[in-house]
Amino acid sequence: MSDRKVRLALPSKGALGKLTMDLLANIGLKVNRPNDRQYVATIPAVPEIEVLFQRAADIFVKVHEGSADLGVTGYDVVSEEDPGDGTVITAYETLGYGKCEVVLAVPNSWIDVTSIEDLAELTLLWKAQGKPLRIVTKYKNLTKKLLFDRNITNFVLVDANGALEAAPNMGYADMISDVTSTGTTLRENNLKQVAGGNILKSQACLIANRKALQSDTALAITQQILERIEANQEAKKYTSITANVRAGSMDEVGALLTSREQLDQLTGQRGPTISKVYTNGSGSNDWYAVTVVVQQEHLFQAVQHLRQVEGQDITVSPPRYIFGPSSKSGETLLQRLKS
Amino acid sequence: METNRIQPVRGMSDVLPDTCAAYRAVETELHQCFEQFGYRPINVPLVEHTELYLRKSGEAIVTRMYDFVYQNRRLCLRPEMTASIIRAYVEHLEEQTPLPVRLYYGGSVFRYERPQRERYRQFSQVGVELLGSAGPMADAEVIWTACRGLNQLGLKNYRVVIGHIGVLSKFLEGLQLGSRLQNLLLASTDLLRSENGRQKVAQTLQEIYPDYRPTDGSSTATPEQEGQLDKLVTLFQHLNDADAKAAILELLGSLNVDLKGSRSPEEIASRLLEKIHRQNRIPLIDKALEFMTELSALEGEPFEVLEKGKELLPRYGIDTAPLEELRSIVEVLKLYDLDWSQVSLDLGLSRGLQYYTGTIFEIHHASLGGERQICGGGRYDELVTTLGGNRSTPATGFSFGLERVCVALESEGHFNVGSHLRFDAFVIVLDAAQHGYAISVAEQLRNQGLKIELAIRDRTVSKNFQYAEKQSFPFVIVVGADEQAQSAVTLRTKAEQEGQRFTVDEAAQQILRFRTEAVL
Repeated sequence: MSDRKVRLALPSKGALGKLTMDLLANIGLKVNRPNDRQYVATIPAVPEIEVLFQRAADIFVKVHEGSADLGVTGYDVVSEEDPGDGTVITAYETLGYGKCEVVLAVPNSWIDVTSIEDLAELTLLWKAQGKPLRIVTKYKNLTKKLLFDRNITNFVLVDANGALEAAPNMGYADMISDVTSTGTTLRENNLKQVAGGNILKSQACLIANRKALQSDTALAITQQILERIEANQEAKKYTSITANVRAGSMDEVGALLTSREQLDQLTGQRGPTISKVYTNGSGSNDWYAVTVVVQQEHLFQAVQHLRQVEGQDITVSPPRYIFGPSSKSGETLLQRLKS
Repeated sequence: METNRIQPVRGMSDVLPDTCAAYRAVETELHQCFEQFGYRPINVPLVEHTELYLRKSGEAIVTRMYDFVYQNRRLCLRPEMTASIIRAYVEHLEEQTPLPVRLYYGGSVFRYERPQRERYRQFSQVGVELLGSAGPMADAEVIWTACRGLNQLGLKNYRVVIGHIGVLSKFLEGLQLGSRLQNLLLASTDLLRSENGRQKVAQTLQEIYPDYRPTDGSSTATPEQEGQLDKLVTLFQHLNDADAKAAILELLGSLNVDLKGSRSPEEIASRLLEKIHRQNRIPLIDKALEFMTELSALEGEPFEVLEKGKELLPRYGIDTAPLEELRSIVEVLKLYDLDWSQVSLDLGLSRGLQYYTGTIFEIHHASLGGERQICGGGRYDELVTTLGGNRSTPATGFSFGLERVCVALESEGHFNVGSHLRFDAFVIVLDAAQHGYAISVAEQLRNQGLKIELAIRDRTVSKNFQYAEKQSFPFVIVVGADEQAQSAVTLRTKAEQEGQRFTVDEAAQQILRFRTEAVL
């Protein structure tokens, strides 16, 4: 294991594929894929990684059987496919894209069914008539679990062939259990969600094969990827502001900026950083550059605050990473490996 | 550390020789007890069509079945035995066997439970079914059969709890709450008894029926939950049924929704109406909970409970016939040699299986804590016809959870692990030339009913002696050229250094004598 490459399986196409490539590029791990028809690729920044492109639905299976060490896929697939044997570990749960929800949906014409309880009543009526409720789905395990938790038992799960939204109209199922992100497809097919029928919220996640992480190389690389993702996601919450302020001394600027308690949010993580500006030509020599890193939502308040102290030339730039003292997700991963 | 071992499936356990022998002994004892009442053995398949259980089992079982599709057939591992046995009875016995039919069984059943102490996903049930016999003589005898089985095993501190499913289900049917709510309430009797049970049940109900407000002021609804009732339902709430239905159908028509799906507009309309009626019944939930709380309090000495029941039931307008039934059963039961302090009546008892129709009972043992039930059963008079039988056939039965019975026995010191496995002697061969003679000696001794292990590994004599020592054989028999020449054996007890020469028959007598003394 120690001398072979760490195999990272990525979704080969679709929105999930594109967004995954974007994420990796954002965290300095740009994938080099010479052409779309190739199924292997490299990440020049980390030569120990070999990228394998797979269908998103197959990635869990690959990681589970150990033919890939790491993989990016939807949490919905993970929850549906995971046999719970501990072979696959979720290394990073919320990559922040590919968001969707698995829901139960019934035809619009069922005006007597608005909640899962109505559905339960319907199955009992049908049980007396000797017919089960037919649900078409790709998420058999998740759907069954939700219904069983609600003590609903008179149903059968029908295999999905192609567009399952059409199944109720075509008559080979009564309702569906499927993934939706905006609800448009449901509406277009005259289907409506059932209250209490939300099975699972999902987004893209990074999974790993437990055994593969017993190799130090693979573990170190995984930790590195986690660090980058975490720092990158953290950085998205913040923005960095620089302004030029006029004052008698550095301390005076500091006092101006931090004089009031309610400014805590507006003057950076620890406090403003202040440095001397050596002005061009014959300008006055009492300018100082102030840099603060604040949360996105405080951007304009911080700008106002800087203006109040006569700040000028205010520039705003996004930080790419914000590293904490240690990596939370890395520690979580180590704990999961021990359990 | 890479390992190529295959782990057992989660929730399944291996039963190793010492325990296995002890289980066998318990099972055999129970089978013998059943036979003393005229029961005959029956065995049914492990795999059945899932349909068999979907038809009549409660949600508690259906949601925990190992249910799978194989070659396009929907099959499952049996989660219990009764349905299979009734299926077999309808198939083979109904037409030609005089009633009553008494059957007993023992075998593995499978339920996908969360693994915990004394709860495995594969466990053994041992029990009886008595078909074609209604009335208190049958019910009481079945309860006594279970008790007698436990008595024969030496178990003492068990409690028999008897109830009647009719009391609660008749009451709930009378309220016309709809089957869903009725099942929910039936399933919550145990929760109702726990600490703050009533609040817990009320809370569960509120999650499901947002418009339900407990009258005892324990409402936990937040303002946003207020008035979650569908506008549609409110709209039609004040019309009479015919008008409402017509209005709903008209609405459906004007919506221009495609109705070529699987449901007719009539069904949708009448379901919506029912929903409206259900909403109107919400105030009755409290009445139901109040009655259930009072009923749950009726537990204790049988005759006292019957008296209290006679007061309570008429107050709620419930038929007291189940109480009379219970009284007759209890009176018959008194004729048996049962320690009456171990028997109680519990009108709030409700078992999770939907096929019970009358008297139900459980046997509890304190050693098991929360999972104290070691036996459960009751009357199921409709199952034969539900499963396609030609005649309505009264039926009752019970099953023991074998593993739990053994835990109970162990807690009282009656579960003798390791003592059931006794080998009488180990036969050592001094030289390969005597293999033939050794085999004939071993066979002669086995013919006398002795358990004989023959040394078959190619080891030195002293190694064989060490092995016999480790395995605690009471006797070692040595066979060499001298012994063969005299048609004899050398017999050594554990304590002796030197053995004595005996003929094979004499040796057998010695061992048998030792065996009898050991038992005494």
